[in-house]
Parts: sequence; C-alpha cells; structure tokens
Amino acid sequence: MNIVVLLRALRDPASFSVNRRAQKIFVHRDLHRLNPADHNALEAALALAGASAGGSVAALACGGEPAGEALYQARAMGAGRALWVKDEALQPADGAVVTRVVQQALARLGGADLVLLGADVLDADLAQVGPRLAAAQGWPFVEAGYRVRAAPASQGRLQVVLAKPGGYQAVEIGLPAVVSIAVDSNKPRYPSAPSIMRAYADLQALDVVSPAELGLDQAALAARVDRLGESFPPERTFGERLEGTLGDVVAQLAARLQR
Amino acid sequence: MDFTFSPQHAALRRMLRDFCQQELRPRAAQVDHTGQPDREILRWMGELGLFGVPFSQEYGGAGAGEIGYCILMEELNRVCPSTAAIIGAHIGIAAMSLYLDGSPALKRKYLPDLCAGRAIGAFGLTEPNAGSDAAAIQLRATLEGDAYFLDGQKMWITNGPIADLVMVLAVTDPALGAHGGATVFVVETNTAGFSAGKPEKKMGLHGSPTSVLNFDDVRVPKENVLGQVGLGFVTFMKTLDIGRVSLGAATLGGAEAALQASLRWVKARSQFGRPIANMQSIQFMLADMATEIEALRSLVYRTAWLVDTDRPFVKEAGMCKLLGSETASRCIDRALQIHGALGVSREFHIERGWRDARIGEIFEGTNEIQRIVIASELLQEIGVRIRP
Repeated sequence: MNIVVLLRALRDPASFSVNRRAQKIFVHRDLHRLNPADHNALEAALALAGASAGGSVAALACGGEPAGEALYQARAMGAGRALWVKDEALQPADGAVVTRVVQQALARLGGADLVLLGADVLDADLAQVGPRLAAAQGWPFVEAGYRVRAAPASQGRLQVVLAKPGGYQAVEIGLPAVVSIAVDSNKPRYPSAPSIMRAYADLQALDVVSPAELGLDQAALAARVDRLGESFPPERTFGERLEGTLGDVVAQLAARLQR
Repeated sequence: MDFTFSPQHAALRRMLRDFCQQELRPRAAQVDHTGQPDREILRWMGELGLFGVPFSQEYGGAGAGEIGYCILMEELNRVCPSTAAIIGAHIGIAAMSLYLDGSPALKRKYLPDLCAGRAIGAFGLTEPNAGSDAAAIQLRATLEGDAYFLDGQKMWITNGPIADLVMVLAVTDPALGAHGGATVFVVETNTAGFSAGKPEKKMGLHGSPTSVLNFDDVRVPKENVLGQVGLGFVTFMKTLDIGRVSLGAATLGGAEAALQASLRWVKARSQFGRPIANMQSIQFMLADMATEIEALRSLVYRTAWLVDTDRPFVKEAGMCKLLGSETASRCIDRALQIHGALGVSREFHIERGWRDARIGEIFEGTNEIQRIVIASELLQEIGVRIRP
C-alpha cells in the first residue's frame, strides 16, 4: 500500500503572542513546527505501512524552509520518501491551491492508495484540503479517523475507527481514499538520534520541486480567498465571585438563576 | 561568526526536548523518591540511540559529536539530573575513554552494545585514598600468563551497581606509579571476583546509583587493556578533560530549569496585591540568573565546537565545569528563594533541584582542581610549568 502523508509546518505557538488591544500578532522568534494532527497522521501512516507487506510512506509538504524541516522530520521518523514543493508563496496558500498542488504532486510520486492528513490545523483550521482533494480525485473521504488498519475481512479495503460521543464507530472504505487523522490519536514515535543525523546527512533525503516543475502556472496558484485582516475576540473571563454573608450569596444566586 | 545550531542539531534538540518533557519529566520525582533508576526509560533511551550520541555511526553511535552530546546532557539535566548522571558517566567518561584510546578491535567489541544501551558503562578512577590526588591510586593489576589479575577497591563510582562494563585504572608498575605505570582495563562486571557495594545514601542524585567496587583477583584478558600499558593515566585525564564540557552542558540545563520554574512562579504568585514579578528584588534575581546562563551557554557550546573542530580545549573545558556548576548552584538557590516556603517543600521539584545541583561542584574533578587546571593552562601559555 502506497501511503502519502500531507504535512504542514506552521508557526510554533510558543514563538508569538496575541495582543488583543492592538489586534495584532507579535512574533518573537522565527520558530516553526509540524502541525500536531499531521504528526499523528504521519505516525498512523508509518504504523499502517509497517503492518502491511510492501507498504511505503511518502511525505509531502509545500512551502518554504519550514516545510523542508517537516519533511526531514518525517524522513528521520521512517518515511521512505519526501517530496518538497518548494515555494514561499505556498506557505499561507488556501485550500483550493494546495489541493491542485497535491494532485500534481501525487502524480509525481506515482500515485497513492491512501492519502492521510491531520484533521485539525493549529492555525487556520479551515479543514478544506482533505474533502477538496477527495472530491477532485473522486475518492472517498473519512474525517477524523482515530485508527486506520487494513479491513479485517475484505481485501484491499480500509477500516477506519472514528471516535464518537460515548463510543467508537468503525467504517470500511475502498481504496484509493483520503482520510484525515484526529489529533491526539496515534502517538508519534520519536525519531532515533542516529536516524536524525542520517536524514540530514543524506543529500537525496528530499525530492525538491517547484510548482512550475509540477506543471502549475501562476493561474493555477492564484488564491481564491483574499486575506483582509485579523481580528481577535476579547479573552473570555471565567466565572463570577459572589460576596457577602451566606444569606446574601444565596439571594444573589437565586436572582441570577431566575434571570 | 555563526552562532546558530546546524539543522540536524536543532532537530536532535527538538526530539530530546519532546522526549524529556513527555516521557522523562513525569518519572523524575519517582526516580528521586525511590532511589531506583527507571530501567524501562533507560531501555527506551537506548533504542533511541541516546547512549551513543557523540560517537561515530561506525560503532553504533549517532555521530552527533560533542555539540550533539552537550545538547543531550542539557536537555536531560533540565528534567531529571539522576538520569543525566547515569548517561553522563556512561557516555562522557566510560564509553568516551574507550572511544578515545581503545584499539579498533576493542571498540568493535564493546562500543555497539554501549551505544545501544545494552551495556551500561562506569568509569573507575577514585579510590578510598585517591580522590583529587588521582595519581595516588593503589588498585593493583598483575600480569600472569595471558591475563591480568586486578586487586583492590574503587569508590564513589557512578553507575557502579548497574554497570555491565567498568573502565578501571589500575597500577601495573608500582615503581612508576600512575605516571607511566598505570593502565586502563575494560572489566566485564560478571567476572568472578568483582562485586559492587550497596548504593551510597547521597544528598542528591538519588536515582543515580553510586557505590564501591571491589576487585578480588578479577581476571581480565590482555585484549581488554584499553590503550597502551602504562599510559592509562593519560587516557583517563584526557577523558576527564572532554567530560568537563558536557558536564558544563548538564549544569546549563539545570540552571535553565531553575530560571524557567522561577519565571512561571513569579507570574502566578501574587503578594501585596500583584504578581511578585513586579518586585524589583525578584527582577534582579531573574536578570542575574538569565545573564549567567547566557554566558554559560556561550562558553559551553563554543568549547564543544572547539572539541568538534579538533582545536585545543582543555582550559575552556575546565571553565565549563567550574562556571557551570557554580552557576547552576546559584540559580537553583535563587529559584528556591523566589519560591519561598514552597521551595523547600519535598512535594515540589525545586528542593530536588537544589539537592541535585550541589555535587556539580565536586564530582569529575572538584572546582578547586578545575581552577588548578585552568591556571596551569594559563601559566603554560607564558612558559611557566606548575606541579600540583
């Protein structure tokens, strides 16, 4: 089974702060990290490939240097191949553009039986790429899978377990397919120290291409969504303290409950 | 000048930070409380290649050099100084002596197991009558046929009770003594006649077992001579020189942990109607801690760079250990003061950090010895040779 995992690097929450009064983000350090749910998706892919004979994992990311870093991390964790669609402009790209890039990249990787990606993205969280890609390819899509494995009974199908309120639900889908993986599922393995050093020492660790090399022109890369600005709601305050004698407090509480 | 870490070292740190925060930190209090090293996490660390970070991949190491090793020690000591001490003794002095001076055959025999954590190493130098005066060792090795027989005692040996291999310095020629008459042996601890004493009851580093090692006619084949016969003292001194750099890195981690804990606390704790972060007396302590830590970081990683680029580093290594251990002691002491009564509570980690930090000024060469090393290097530069 050829599995492709989509990875997205984003600004580390520890590297910026939000000033609500100024309605601005202040970036302290240039620090990026792999989107947490993508990390879980990568682990799910490695575990699934490890469990099936002839399984392979290719990691795919688009953007600038942080995307490359995410791919090195994937190689160190055990992904056999990594494709970096290198273009700074793709870092904040919208779902439609990313979907087009991924479609072309899949062709370059020689197709895929399964595409995995994180169900949540820490910053924008628009949840667009998964369903868009599935629709464009005409493949089934399952959202927020908790566990993926080869379907026990039927050959060439995939079982996806979803977390539902009060229990789990198992669904079966045919391949090829797109499955997004729930954050906090599939605890990622740690790359070993030797494999980290080897990944960076390997000059062929990443296959680097430009969007143009994938046959994408400027029109294909034009965003559909315009970014007008950012707005931050006021911080929520929790609770209210009722003061006074016991009788006062009870009376105040009753008044509030009646309101 | 480029002060950035290479991408692979940054990635190594990221992995270590995650591992230490998520896996090691939750176990640190238990390790201290029970006085037992956590075998499960040590096995896991072995699988992740953390027992051989600086050594070349040819021998099963990670090939991350001294800089990578300093990153390891800094991150470990941030969360669990006991575990850091186990790794420090294992890599920094035991396996390092083999890596520096062992024959290719001896390295092939033992380093892969050491790097994978399948064998834990210890470094046997100190004796009841030979501490700072390391040349006064008495443990005797006598050649009979194709093997040496070791007789005597080592003391205060980190990893003593859990070691599978001990690198031991023994006197092979009493007429010459340590200078020319001492030799290093790799001793497998399952050899008849070897025994480790009970773990010492220490003030800190409770999870890092330290003990006496008894050698009662322990037979060691000739092939297990590490380096050249008679030149063991040189091997051990060279090993200690390089070990001081990573020890500085460990103290850096301890000092940083103290500062980070303090920063969290001064924001959370209010007195006189506002967070204590507003008090200038607190701010001065934070500023002093941060400044000393930054100075230490620069010294440690520049010295690691000297090591990795084959430049002379002995003076700077002594400085790493000296400045590092004193900085860590000062920082954790200030952190304890900032935390007030909570600082001395055994329910909270500051007290453990304070107990764990103090040995830094003593082991692997007391700070007085470091000052002698630094001074002798300084004086040598102007042509003056001093003798202890």
